[in-house]
Amino acid sequence: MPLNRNQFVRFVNVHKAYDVNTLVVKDLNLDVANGEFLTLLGPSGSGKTTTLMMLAGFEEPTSGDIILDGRSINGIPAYKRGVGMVFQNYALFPHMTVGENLAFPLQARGMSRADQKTRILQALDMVKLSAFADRRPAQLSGGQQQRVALARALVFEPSLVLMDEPLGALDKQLRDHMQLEIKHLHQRIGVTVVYVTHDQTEALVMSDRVAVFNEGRIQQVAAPAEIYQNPQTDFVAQFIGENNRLEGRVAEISHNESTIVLKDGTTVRSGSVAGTTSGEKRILSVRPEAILVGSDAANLPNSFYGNVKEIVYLGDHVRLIIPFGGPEELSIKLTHRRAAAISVGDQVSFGWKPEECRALV
Amino acid sequence: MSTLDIVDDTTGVSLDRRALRRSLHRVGRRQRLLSLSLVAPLGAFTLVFFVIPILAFFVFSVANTEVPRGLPLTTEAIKEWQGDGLPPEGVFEALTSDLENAENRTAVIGAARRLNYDVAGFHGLMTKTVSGLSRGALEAGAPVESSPAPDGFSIFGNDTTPTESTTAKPQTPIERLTGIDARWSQERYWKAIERGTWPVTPLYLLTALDLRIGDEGSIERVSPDHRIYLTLIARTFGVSASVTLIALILGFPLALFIKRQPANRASLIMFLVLVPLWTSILVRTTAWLVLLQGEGLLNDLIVMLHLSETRLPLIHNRLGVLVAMVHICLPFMILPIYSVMKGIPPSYTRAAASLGAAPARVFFKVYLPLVFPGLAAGVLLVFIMCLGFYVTPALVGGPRDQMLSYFIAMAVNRDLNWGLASALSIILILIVALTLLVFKRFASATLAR
Amino acid sequence: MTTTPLERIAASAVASVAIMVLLFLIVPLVVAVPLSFNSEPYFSYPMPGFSLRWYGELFGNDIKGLEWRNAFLNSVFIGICASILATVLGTSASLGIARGDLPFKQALQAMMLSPLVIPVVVYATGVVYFFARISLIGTYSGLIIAHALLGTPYVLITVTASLSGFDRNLTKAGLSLGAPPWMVFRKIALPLIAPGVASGALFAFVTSWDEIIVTLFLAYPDQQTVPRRLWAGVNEQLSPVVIAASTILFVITLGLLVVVEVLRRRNIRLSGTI
Ligand SMILES: Nc1ncnc2c1ncn2[C@@H]1O[C@H](COP(=O)(O)OP(=O)(O)O)[C@@H](O)[C@H]1O
Ligand SMILES: [Mg+2]
Repeated sequence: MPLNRNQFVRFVNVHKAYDVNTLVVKDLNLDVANGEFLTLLGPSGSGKTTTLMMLAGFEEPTSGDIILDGRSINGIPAYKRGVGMVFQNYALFPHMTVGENLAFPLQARGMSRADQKTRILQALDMVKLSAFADRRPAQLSGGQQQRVALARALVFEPSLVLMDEPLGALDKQLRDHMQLEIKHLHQRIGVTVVYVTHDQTEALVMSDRVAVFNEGRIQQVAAPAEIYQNPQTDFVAQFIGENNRLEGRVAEISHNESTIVLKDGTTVRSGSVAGTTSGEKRILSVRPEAILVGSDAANLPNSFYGNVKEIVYLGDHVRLIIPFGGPEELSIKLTHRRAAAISVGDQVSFGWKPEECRALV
Repeated sequence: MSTLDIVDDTTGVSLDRRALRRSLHRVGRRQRLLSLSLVAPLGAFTLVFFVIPILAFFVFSVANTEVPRGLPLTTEAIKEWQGDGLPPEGVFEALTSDLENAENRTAVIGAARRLNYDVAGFHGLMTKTVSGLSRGALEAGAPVESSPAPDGFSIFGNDTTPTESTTAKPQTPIERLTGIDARWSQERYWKAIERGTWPVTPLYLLTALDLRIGDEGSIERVSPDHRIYLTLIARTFGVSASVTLIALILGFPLALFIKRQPANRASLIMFLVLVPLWTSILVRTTAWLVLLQGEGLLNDLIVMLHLSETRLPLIHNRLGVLVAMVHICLPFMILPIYSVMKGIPPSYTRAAASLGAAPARVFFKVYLPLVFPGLAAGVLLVFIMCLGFYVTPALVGGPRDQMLSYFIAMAVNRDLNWGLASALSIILILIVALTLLVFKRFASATLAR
Repeated sequence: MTTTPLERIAASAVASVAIMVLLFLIVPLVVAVPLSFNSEPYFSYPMPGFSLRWYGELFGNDIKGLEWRNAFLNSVFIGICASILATVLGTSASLGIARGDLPFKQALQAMMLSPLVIPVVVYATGVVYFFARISLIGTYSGLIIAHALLGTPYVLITVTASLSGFDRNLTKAGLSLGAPPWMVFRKIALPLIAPGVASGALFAFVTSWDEIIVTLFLAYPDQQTVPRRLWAGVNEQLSPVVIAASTILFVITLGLLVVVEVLRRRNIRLSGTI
């Protein structure tokens, strides 16, 4: 049993450099709770894989400590860590059958043949591949290979499983399906999962918590809803979901609201941000679906008029593009029904609640 | 693990690079040591059993130990000589003692052979002098009073019976030596001995370039009838270039042909190309002998078809060497060309054709440049292989078709002239290295283009 | 696809040259083979009769047959030992190089591949002097070492090539599944690079099997090998026995090539790129 349920895995002041010029991971402090599904989300090259490799034991931190279940694992070789891993290209052993692939970690642990057999059957059953034990990986579809990789990482019942973009090679439909399947599997067996992806939807769908990475630094760690609704930095707001970005300066601060003046002088009221002093530059962030149009908008504290520049058809909804705040444009999400009466060039009223809008650094 | 004082570069404070470098070094060291320890056995094996023997062998090209070993007293005495006129009498005396020292006979023979490389006829001179001296000693009696170097004489005297002789008048060492052979009064023989006492000698390297140190001490070309090595180097180069060119001309169409065949037939033809490659060179040479010799199959055919009335000389000449060498080298030309051709997607030439280029233009302007790396690799491989050929020219060539390798082997095996073998080897290796260098330059230049 | 007359002419020109070159490559190898079955010791067609007498001499119980068989056994013994030595050393070195963090990589690689470009006579001369000083002249160990050395670059090349197609993630996967490095190597890396190792071993064997120059320099007269006997046979009066021996070697070569082809197919199947 872990010493502390919430600190099953701990990164303490971890830095990582491959060369003297760049720190690929900078001052990483991160706790992963036992049984948690934590996702490292970030653009390509942001240091997610490196972080995972340090946890798996394939890279050593340049400085700092990684603690697993209360013990520092610095210097412990990968094969002694007992951490399961799923690779992006699955890394199934091509010369072994599915069954032999699954038997490999059990043989390494010196398990008896009979026990191996029951474990393998259980694991294959879990990923619904019982009939495929004698196939070679090359004889399986991409989705099936993915599931074998999953089963292989779980068959020796590790307490921690790492997955590095495991769905990256699948097509969209299969990916959507596997996201839920992995999520349900996690809920059923309760293993701790650290998952890496650059796909924000994947992160939001699957995770208990998401750690957003940018340039080797954690921007925010929070539950998916929190990350989406309450991004703490401009980067997080930009990276997760769609977002209108307006530059301005702080004019006034009250205890839970602030007033921002945009470049063309428009004043906007937003939820307050701690530590802000007037005159500072800030970036306002508003989600397209948070902006209301027409009569709904008229009574809001942030209420404006503008001319529709463009209407973009997007299948299940449309976007209005309206110039606003100087050089910028707002993108507004609207249902077909509401957009029916609007055409390009029309003047419309629009607005949003101050709490739907954040002034970010 | 201690926490390093690393400061983030985005905050404007610079990284503590020294600490970082140290830490990086420490982290990677175990891994690097593991890599090194995997490579070390072969590295050491190659170093000990390949690099060192060859380097040690190269030392022979300048080694100059025979004269000091065979003529130690002369080596010491000749230091006094200024180099003009004949050496002083002490040198004659020392040489006399050295030559009369029977215990050192093998080393004296070595010195004689070494001096003969420098001045032709020296070996004969030495032999004559040694026997002349011993005969003289028998006649004159061992304890020649005028000898100030009794050591050599006493040793010599031990295995001969001193006979009392009053008729022989005492001779100076100069008189004795010049009396045995007048050549001892010529400066050039003494100069050769003096050159033999240098710590290193340019003799072999000069010989390998048909040069010598003349009587005036300057470097000059050897007399025309002794010039063999430049011709030999040129021949080695020429034969290699011819074989490479012929192999290229024959190999390229075959590679092109294989590339255009359906996969199954292509691999069958590749099999046929590989069969000769894997067949022992000696087996193949045997086959050529059966085919090409005077009583051989090809001559049978020629006579049968009345193409020629007499049997043609097809082997033990340049023709035989070229044919057999091309046969051996062709697969090495075809393989790299074909493998590059296989890697060229047809879309390139199709694109060129769709842009309106005529087939010939597509071939020369698009296809050939794409295949070029394969051609270059084949040419390099074959040319370097050819430079070192020994077995084939030795078996199917005539005396005038032998290449550098043959002369290296002969210098060691027949003449025991390790210095010359070493010098010729150095020249051969230099040609190989130069070729590699030129190709490397060439390759990086074409890549940069 | 349409072709112009000029293209067709060019294509048939290429084809005819290619076929002639193929004939040039193959015919000399096979044309002498029937002569080894000639009943008379002449090298001309038509043969007066068929006979196995030359093979009989090779396999006979007289001194000649014994010598040939002795040479054959020597060649096989030296070849196998040299091949094993070269394969172990070359495979290990390839693994070290493939790890990617080898210090002095360029220099080490150049040194280990240098036996490919240094003319064998130069090596033979150097090694004969060196071996004389360490008393390896005329010993089997000396021959095996020298032959193995000439084979190591081939092992290095083939194994490095097969490692370049090896997914490093497989090693990581193996380690993450709890297998210690040695087990990962034996159960995962080795089976997957086995075709490369095997063809390297075969190359090394053939290098030794074919080697004549170093053998001529290093071996004592009683250390006969097949190439040495052939060399003597060719240098003296060419006899049908030599042709018979050549034929046997040729057949062995064909057999080895078939093995290589099978290995290649197997390699393709395993790597899944059919
Ligand atoms: N083995 C390595 N050696 C040197 N640099 C590396 C290595 N692995 C990753 N990097 C560099 O580190 C940075 C982060 O890489 P990575 O952790 O793979 O990012 P992500 O997985 O988020 O895409 C990248 O700039 C990458 O080029
Ligand atoms: Mg990554």
